[in-house]
Amino acid sequence: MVGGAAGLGVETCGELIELIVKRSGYELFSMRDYMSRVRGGHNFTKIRFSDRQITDYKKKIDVLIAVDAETIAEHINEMQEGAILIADIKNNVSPHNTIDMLQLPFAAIAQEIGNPKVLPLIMAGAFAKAFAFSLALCKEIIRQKMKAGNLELNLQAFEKGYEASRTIEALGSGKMSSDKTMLISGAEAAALGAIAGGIGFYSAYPMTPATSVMTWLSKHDLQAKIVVEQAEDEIAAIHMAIGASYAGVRAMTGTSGGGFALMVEALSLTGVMELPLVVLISQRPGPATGLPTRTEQGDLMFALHAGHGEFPRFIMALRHPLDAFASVARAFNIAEKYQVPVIVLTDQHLSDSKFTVSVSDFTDVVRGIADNDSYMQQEAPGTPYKRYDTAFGPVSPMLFPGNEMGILVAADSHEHNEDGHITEDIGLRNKLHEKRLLKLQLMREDVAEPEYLGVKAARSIIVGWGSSRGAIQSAIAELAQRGHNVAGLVFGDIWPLPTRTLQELAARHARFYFVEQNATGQFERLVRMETGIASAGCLRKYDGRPLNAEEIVELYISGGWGNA
Amino acid sequence: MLDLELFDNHMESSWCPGCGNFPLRSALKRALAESEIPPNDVVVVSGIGQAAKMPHYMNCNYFNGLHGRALPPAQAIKMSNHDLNVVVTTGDGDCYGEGGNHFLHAIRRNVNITLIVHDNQIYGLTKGQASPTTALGQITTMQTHGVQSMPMNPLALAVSQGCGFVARGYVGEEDHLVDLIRQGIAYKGFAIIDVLQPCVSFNKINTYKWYKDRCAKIAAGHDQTDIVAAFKLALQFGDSGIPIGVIYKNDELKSFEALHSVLNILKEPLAKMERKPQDALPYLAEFI
Repeated sequence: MVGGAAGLGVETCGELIELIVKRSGYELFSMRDYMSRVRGGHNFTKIRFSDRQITDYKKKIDVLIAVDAETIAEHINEMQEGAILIADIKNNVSPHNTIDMLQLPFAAIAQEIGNPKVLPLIMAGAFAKAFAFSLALCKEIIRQKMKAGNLELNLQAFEKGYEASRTIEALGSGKMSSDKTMLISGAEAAALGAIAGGIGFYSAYPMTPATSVMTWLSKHDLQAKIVVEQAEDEIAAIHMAIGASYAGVRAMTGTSGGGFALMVEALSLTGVMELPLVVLISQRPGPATGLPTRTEQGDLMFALHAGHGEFPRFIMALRHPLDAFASVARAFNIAEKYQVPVIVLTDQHLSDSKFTVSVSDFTDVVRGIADNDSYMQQEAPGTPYKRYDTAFGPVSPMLFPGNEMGILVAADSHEHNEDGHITEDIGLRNKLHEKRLLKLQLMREDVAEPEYLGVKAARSIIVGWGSSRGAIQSAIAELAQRGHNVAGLVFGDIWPLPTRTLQELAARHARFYFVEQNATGQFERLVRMETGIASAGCLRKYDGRPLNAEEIVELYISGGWGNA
Repeated sequence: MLDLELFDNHMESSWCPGCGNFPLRSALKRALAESEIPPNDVVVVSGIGQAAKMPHYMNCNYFNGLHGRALPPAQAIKMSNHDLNVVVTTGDGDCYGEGGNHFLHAIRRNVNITLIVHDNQIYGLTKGQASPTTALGQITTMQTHGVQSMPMNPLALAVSQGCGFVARGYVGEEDHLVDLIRQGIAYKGFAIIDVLQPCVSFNKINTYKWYKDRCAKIAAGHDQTDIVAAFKLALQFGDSGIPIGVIYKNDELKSFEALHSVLNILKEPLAKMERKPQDALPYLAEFI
């Protein structure tokens, strides 16, 4: 863990260590905990690395790099026996019988160099030496990743930290050949997924933790030839995306719960206009402003019911970076195939956490999408063209304005006839309303069953959705090792709810334990609503911090599950 | 000159007999025909209100969206396909009330679209409440003691923000209005034309006579490029006179599209670009 007040370089230090570890051949998982402020307070980055894939964090710390004194006080009790504390000697931490101290004059070295901002580099250098990572490799990383202007100063700082330190454990290299893996965050993977999904337009209003998706797309707009527009408010953001969609451009918007609240009337608009749209909701604790920089899974029911009136939508939740990449790309195809809004749920935890993923997994996803694009072909329009022609079933051939055929294209927010003109006729109202709602039956064919983790014949099933996959996967592995007959079921597609696996397991008398990050058991209630399946117990975490495997394991073993 | 009939869709309108929307529709069709812009190249974008029904009563592509929300999709449609002529037909309530924030920022963004506000100084569709431009003290179906808020001056606002084309029209001067609309469409940037029109059903103050007695065409001597003079002109509204015509025009102002790093390098419209999943592959390298 690298911890310190905002503005001291905790992030810089953490990012550098991530790269050192990754390039040295290890798999890693990194999460960020930060406050809603630009200076001061307390933030930390927690990096966990190994020879095998890691998907969640552990409560205990093996190495604490304390950029300030407060970090020591804050986290010393989380340190394992035999853990190492890397801190400034001026903190004067008294000797500890179970913790190894690596106290060095970091601030003094920074002063010697002449710039306090290089402190994180010095500490990263000390860490690198402590575990015998290659200095040459570290310097190459700094050259590649850091701004040219401060390069010499940064290299100097890192080397001084390295020299001042000592080796505590020579880790050597990991097993991964680093050029075959990517270190990527959930947000970056989602943004990349949008590119793979053919995005042409992204409009949004900055809101934590969704902003990073817009920032990534904005940085690559020229290369990708996409328009990324910061709108004046969330209402404008979603309406712009809808306008782009009407004009024939694949469009997306992104926000968090509070911003989505402003977008809800527009969601209803996409429903009646039957326009494709992808809406990313990156969840954080509510209600209202809540905990802006923390994580929750509290907007599922909101997403399910958002928008007045009745209209179909598709909802998917992102589980890990590869899933984020594949799902966002898929979201665009589903949106266009059914001409519906697709809501993609993610959260601060997945957005800001980084995982190592194999490059070939990503290229496989791309190949899979390309092979399946036959469904993008739609029926030829009828003559005369009617935008909402019911002769084709629930989904009418969609044209865009300014097409070569000279056919005029309508989009209307009222109840309308098949041409898109305002109507109050009873027959037409029923016909068009039913046409739209019938899409739900078709959409069920495209729903993906949840991921099943663990032994086939398990009687106890831990059920979760979205980013809790990491903790659940880890918990299942741990429990299996301890001889428990338990499996995990992690949902990506949320709506239409995939029910086949649930029904099969229920038929075998499985007991379902719902683990989610909200107080009212939203997914549990959805499952019960759709299938009648009751939960055997639940874990509901709503303190704004991400789930970890240990709490699931402890609860499972103690049997102290909450009641529905 | 295109055949005016091309723009007729023969739909029966729900406007009251004598509504100011009729001459406005006529002016819009004539402007498009005279500018040789066929229906296929026009998208009329509207929100909700009697004005917003315009696209349903003429032959064109259209996006009839939510109340107050015409400007955001209109700008995005233009960004998505610059070959389209985007005309927003909205009302004083839709544009200056519900959509006020979008109005302000559309001026800043300066996308090449034309905003025609049907300003009848009242809410027509919802039957007679005050709009942001209803006069102070006017009694309405909702403001039974008289309107207590000062009326907004949208054109002074537009000029104060440096909007590149600011004009006022009046449906009683249809030929003049046709020319204003043509100029607005031709202007390479955001153009606003506030069109005064009587609401025969709900506004008994601002009638045809009331407007006729006050509207006067702006003198030829007015320097359209002088922002201070334009601002002064925009402030004039009332018994002492209502200037109609082009108040301000800035041909030096570069449009959003002209300045946009991505849009101004694209050879074809964004909507016509071909994309494939493999486009994502080059980006993987930065994460390795």
